[in-house]
Order: sequence, then structure tokens, then C-alpha cells
Amino acid sequence: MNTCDNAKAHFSDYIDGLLTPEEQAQVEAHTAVCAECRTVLQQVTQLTERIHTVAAISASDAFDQNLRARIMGTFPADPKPSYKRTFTFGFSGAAVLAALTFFVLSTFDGSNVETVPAGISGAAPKAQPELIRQDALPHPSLASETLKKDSLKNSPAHVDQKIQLVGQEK
Amino acid sequence: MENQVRYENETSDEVLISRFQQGDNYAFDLLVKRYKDPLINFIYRFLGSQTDAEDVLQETFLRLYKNKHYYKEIAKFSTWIYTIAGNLAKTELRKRRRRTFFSINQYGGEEKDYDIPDDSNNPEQETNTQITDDIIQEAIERLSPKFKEVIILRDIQGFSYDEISEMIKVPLGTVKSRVNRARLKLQADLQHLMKDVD
Repeated sequence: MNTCDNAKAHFSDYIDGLLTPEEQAQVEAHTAVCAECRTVLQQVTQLTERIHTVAAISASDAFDQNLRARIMGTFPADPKPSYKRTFTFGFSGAAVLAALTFFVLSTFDGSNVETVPAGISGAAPKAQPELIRQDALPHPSLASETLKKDSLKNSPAHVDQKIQLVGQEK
Repeated sequence: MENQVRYENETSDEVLISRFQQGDNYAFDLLVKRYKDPLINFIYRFLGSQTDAEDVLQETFLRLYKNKHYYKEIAKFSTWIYTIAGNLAKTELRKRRRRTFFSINQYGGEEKDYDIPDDSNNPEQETNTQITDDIIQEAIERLSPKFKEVIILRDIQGFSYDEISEMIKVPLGTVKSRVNRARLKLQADLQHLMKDVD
């Protein structure tokens, strides 16, 4: 690198006062004898000072309003509890619970349950759910096929009810 | 009232962003109030259009709103928000370049994709010895993004070299070198206007 390039490489640090005294002296020594570099340094200094004074611009008066609108559009405030939503969740929960109850009860072998007489309190025994009655099935050999045809009992758990049928045969 | 003014003026950026992270939206409003003008100035120098600069500024604050939890107190808030704004401004510049490229190619343009007619170099303006803000802005816009970025941060926004290094994620020595080269490029670009300037 020749001396001019070396000096120019330090012009910014010279202008910003970041050079060591020795480096600063080297730049000054070079510009004292090199007219071209002296002019460049002078103009860079003037230009840098001029850039510092460039008038600042401001955001428009409508900026805050536009930003607020955009934020509200992107991140709407927390919605108030919706009756429709509450109802939907409630209904879904009830449906799941009913399906679960139905599943549990339909896999329960009623033939092994003894009838419970009315309790001491006199409360009537809970009605037993209507289980799959053996006599309702066309034939034991067709039971499995019948269960498969029942759209509500397509799950493998229901197919396993063949076990129940074996128990009933006893 | 006096307490509120004191709160607005004396609370640090880092405390405000922390409160915003905890759900205090008023702290967000104060950060917007504090940074909207410095940031639009920064973005405008990149893009040269107030409308585009406001769009990018909105996007910057939207990112702040959305990603507030990404801020960690290991960095200054100003560094963080300027990094976001700078990245968005550079993305906007890239989009413009692509648009310019396709636009010029569409009309059978040549390889000189970026040689958009430059009014500042016409003979009438060369006689003007006054370097106006517009002339400086146009000269800055002619710099490549990496030089433009550092010259805006250093000479217009007044950040230290260390802060710039942290913002643009390049070594300190590279930042200094880029600032120096950017200043020399501006001088080379505008020297014909400076001959009469004492």
C-alpha cells in the first residue's frame, strides 16, 4: 500500500479523533506534503460536518393512529367471553362425556351383575342400562358381524365384545 | 402529572421494555414516542421516501409488539430496535432492487440495472455550490447498502463505532473501515460541488 492509501485509510479516525498521537502526526505529515490528500481530507471533514447538520425528519401526525390501527388489526384485544363459544365448548364436553359413558356401559357385562334391592334409604336402584341382549342377536355366530355393522360400535373395543358373548354362553 | 412527566423522561428504555414484557402497554406507547422520530430519520435515509419509511417504521414497532419477549437485557434496547429497523429497511431495498431489475429488463434494459437517471449530476446542478440536504440524501442513496448503513448510523444518528458493530453484527475494525470508505465515496461523489466551498 502506498503512502496516500495508507493515509486515506486513517482519515475517518483522524476526523473522529481516534488516532494515537503518533498516527495523527503521520497523517498530518503526509497531508502537509501531498496536495491531493490534503484536499481530500479537507473535503471529507467538511462533508462529514455537513452530514451532521442534515435536517431531521419526523413521523407524520397520523403515524400513531395508523400504528394503533395496524396493531389492533394484527393483535385484536382479548375477546370478551362469547356465549356461543361457551355453549359450543359445553356442548362438546357433554357429547364427549355421553359418548364415554355409552362406551363404558356398552362394554360392561350385565349378565354378571346381581340385581340390587332397594337400599336402606329407600332409594330406587339405578336403572341398569340396556345392554346388548343375547336374544336380540340373530345368532351367536353372527353377533360379531352385527356389531361391526353398527356404526356406533366400530371401535375395536366393541368388536372385542365377543368375549362377553362367550361369558354369556356359560 | 409531574410524576408522569418524570416517569416518561427518566425511565430508561430497558425498564420500559421490561414493563412492556410484563404487560404494561403504556410502556410500549412511551417507547414508540421516544423512538419514532429517530427511527424514521434512520429509515428515511435508507429509502429516501417518507411513505415507505413510515411503512417500515410501523413494521418495526409491530415486530417490537409481537416479539417483545425476544429482547434480553444483555443488549441496549436502542441497539436492538435499530437492528430490527435496519434489517427491515435493507429488506425493503432488496425488494426495490428486484422490482427495478424486472422493470428495466421488461423494457429490454442492459446490464446497467442500477444506473437510474441521476438528476443531481446534471450541468445545471453542478453549478450549484450549495450542498443541500437533498443532494446529500441522494448521494447517500447511491452508496451500496453496507456503506449506507454505517454512514447513517455514524454521521446522521451519531452512534459510536462499538454500538454500530453490535447493531450490524460485524467486527469493530470492519465498521471503521466501512465508515472511512463511505466517507471517501461521498467525497468523491460530491467533490465537484465542494470546489467552491470554503
